[in-house]
Amino acid sequence: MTVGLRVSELGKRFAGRAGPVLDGVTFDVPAGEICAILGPSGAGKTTLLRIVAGFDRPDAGSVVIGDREVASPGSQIAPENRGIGFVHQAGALFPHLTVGENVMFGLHRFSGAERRSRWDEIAELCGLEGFAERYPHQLSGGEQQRVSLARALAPRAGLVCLDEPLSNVDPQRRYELGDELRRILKQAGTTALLVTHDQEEAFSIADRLGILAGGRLVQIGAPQEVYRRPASAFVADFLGHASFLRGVVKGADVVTEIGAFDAVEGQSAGAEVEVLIRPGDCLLAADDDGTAMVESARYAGEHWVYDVRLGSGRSLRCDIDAIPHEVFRPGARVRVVPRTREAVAFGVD
Amino acid sequence: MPAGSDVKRAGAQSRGFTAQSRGFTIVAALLAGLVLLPLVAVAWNALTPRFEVWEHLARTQLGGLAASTVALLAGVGVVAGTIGTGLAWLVATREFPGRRFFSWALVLPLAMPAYVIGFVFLSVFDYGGPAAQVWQSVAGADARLPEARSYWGVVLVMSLVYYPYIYLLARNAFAERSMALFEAARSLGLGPVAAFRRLAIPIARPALAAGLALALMETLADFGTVSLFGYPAFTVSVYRVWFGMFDRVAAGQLATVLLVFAGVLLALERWGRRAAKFSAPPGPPPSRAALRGYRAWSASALCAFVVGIAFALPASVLVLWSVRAAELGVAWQALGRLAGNTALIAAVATVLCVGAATALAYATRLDRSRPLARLVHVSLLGYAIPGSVVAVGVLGVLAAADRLMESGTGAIGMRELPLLATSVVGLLFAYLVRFMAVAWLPVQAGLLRITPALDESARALGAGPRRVLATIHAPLLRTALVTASTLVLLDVMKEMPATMLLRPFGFDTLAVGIWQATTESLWLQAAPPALAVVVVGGVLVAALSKTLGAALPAGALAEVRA
Repeated sequence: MTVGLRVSELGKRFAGRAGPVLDGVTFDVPAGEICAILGPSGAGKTTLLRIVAGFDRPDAGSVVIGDREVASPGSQIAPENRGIGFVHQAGALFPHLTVGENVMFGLHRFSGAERRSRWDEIAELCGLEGFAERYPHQLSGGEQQRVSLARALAPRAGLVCLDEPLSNVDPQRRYELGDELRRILKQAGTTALLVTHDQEEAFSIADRLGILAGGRLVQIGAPQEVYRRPASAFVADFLGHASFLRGVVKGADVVTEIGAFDAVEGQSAGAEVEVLIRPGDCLLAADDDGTAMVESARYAGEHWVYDVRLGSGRSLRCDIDAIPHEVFRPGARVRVVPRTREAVAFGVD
Repeated sequence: MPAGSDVKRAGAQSRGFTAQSRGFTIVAALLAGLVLLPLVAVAWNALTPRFEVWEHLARTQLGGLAASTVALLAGVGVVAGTIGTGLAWLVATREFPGRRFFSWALVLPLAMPAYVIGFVFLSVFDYGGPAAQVWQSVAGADARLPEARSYWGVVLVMSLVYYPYIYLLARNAFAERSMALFEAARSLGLGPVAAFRRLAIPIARPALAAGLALALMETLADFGTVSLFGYPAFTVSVYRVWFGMFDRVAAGQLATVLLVFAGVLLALERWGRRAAKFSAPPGPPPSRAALRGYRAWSASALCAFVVGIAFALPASVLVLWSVRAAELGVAWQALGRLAGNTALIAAVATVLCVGAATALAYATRLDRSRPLARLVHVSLLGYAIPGSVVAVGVLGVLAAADRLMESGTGAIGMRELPLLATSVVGLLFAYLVRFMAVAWLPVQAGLLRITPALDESARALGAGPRRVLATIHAPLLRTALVTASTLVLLDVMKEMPATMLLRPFGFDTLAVGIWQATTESLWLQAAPPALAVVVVGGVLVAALSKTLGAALPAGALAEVRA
């Protein structure tokens, strides 16, 4: 594996803040992969990205881009010498330059002919044909972000950093643009680091997903793996609605009040665990003798969202497709039917 | 590639990075230090244990000087404050014929140096002048007008040229206030007058204090008017001790007292703002109540009267005399030389001040450390320091530099070096000290409007700090740079005391030409250069009138405290 980006034991404190902003953050991004760092606000995401880009200095640890160490506490390569691209939240296009001039800004060491051919390539890749003479204020938010990405890619950046690239785009166009950004990045073959607090943005763009909380990287892996196998209850809760049921390990099973799931390795027999249930994991069946009762029902278009009170008193969230489906009213007695035996369990402290 | 070479490469580039932004930090620190040097030199005089002249001055003049200075400041404060605040309230909250025109025309007196309106006033009202002749023909041969060369004469003249500072800042402060506030006041039973007294004045107090401080700083710094009127002021004494007694230490000691006064004004301005940090609630500005009938016409007449006596009439008198001077063949021959010198020195000084201010502002953008910000802010204090004090300090510094060079070159056998102290370097140095802050404010405000994301994007694309400044900031700062240059041009052109004290022998500017003619009461001779100053200044002020409120150094002073 060629390393695109290697971040080792990165630490950063700010004067006047009690805890560290970043604390021992370590991860690799293989060349050509898109890595998203997801975390709540204040988790240190932006600081991480700015240290990688060279806008901030780390207090501890190092950053390697390609085969070159670009930052460590003792030495720091200037951002202009790192061979990176940076896409800001709102694009940060130079307002006094046309789209063409913006995209070619980083090509000052290229000859005129090279610049023109590079513009043609990039314009085709990013769908900017015919945009060369326009000014940034004549573009929509999504178009601005495409230009910003084109500008970052034009000098053949080894690494592209993206700071919440979809946050200023209107909701209808967001995921469309997310797909577009992913296609462009993959086609360009660049390594990319993206930070965001929007999990759908992260899921739609990334090959690899890291979760940053309180300055620490708590988990990193493929998006579906992080979602299905969260390393902690915090991660599970952060990535989407999570309900937890009490379970007991019996042989190869974890037995809960709604049924048995496959036990995860490392749990000893008889151990009590908390089992994670996602809203899509269960179905509901009408059952007058059922121990569970519908507490609330909310219509959400494609599906219904139910909150169900179980016999033990625990609460469970279930998303049920609107078609084909009978509607349960609050107060209805129901039975909860798991749709899978796969589940994640966390030890009880 | 072996790991060792990696580290080396990283190390080399790291030096490149820090050296580049450190370069701006060092330049900024040097510039700030350079600008502060003359002020330190002035203060140094106060510590020099040579007190014969000082004791003489203290015994004979100092008490009187201090009293007359305080009286002058108080008089101008009250008169200019009343004119400025009243007109600002009228223009910001009332609708009347010609309001839009007067809104900017009331700023025009800023183009008129106090010494120009001063000599026009004297020439008209002085004993034997046209006003006195008219009065005598009406009231009899023994009738006398009130003495023009008096306390009230000086106060009136200075108030007429310095009220625009208060007017501008107050007008903007009144105009920014949300209508909701005034509607609330009306609903609580306050009439317009009560609303003005209990709401508008307290809310606008920070702006009023800043405007007042600026007007009083100019009053304190004035040299031409007070010497023309024979009013006992510090600037005149400094000049007399310098050129009459050739005692630089005593002059420096007097200048120190002036420095103390300037410090008090700065503190006053700071207190005015500190005491009231209001933020305007968002909302539409108050709609202007339309005045009707005789009230509307008297509002227009009042504005016309002020613009008339502070600008239109003096300018007309200057035109009249310039024409007569041309008929008699006086003064116009020298005008080309004076104007040329002024244009040359003002152009160079403007480039210096705007360049230095830009370097300072950009350095504080790159290096956000506290010590640098403090140093830069202190270096902007020059604006509050009278030109004569700056001149004394600059001469002290340059004379020391000359002595150093002399002893240095004497050792290697060279002679006949050009002396810095008597060269144009001193003049430019003084302008830099005094007017860098004037350029700094619009440039800094312009830079703040450029999001750091643009710098970062450009840096990530391989542009170093200098290329970012040249290709991103410079084009985006164009308006701010033009505003800064215009303000500096205006101030350099008007500046008299520093020019008088520091100009190389024979290097006469418009301001110097006016002064030399007026000290001998040669009004006709003074008119053409004065007209040139007023015309150029009027054009500059008119061009600036839209942005001037925000660009006034009051903002710079506000920054100083940050």
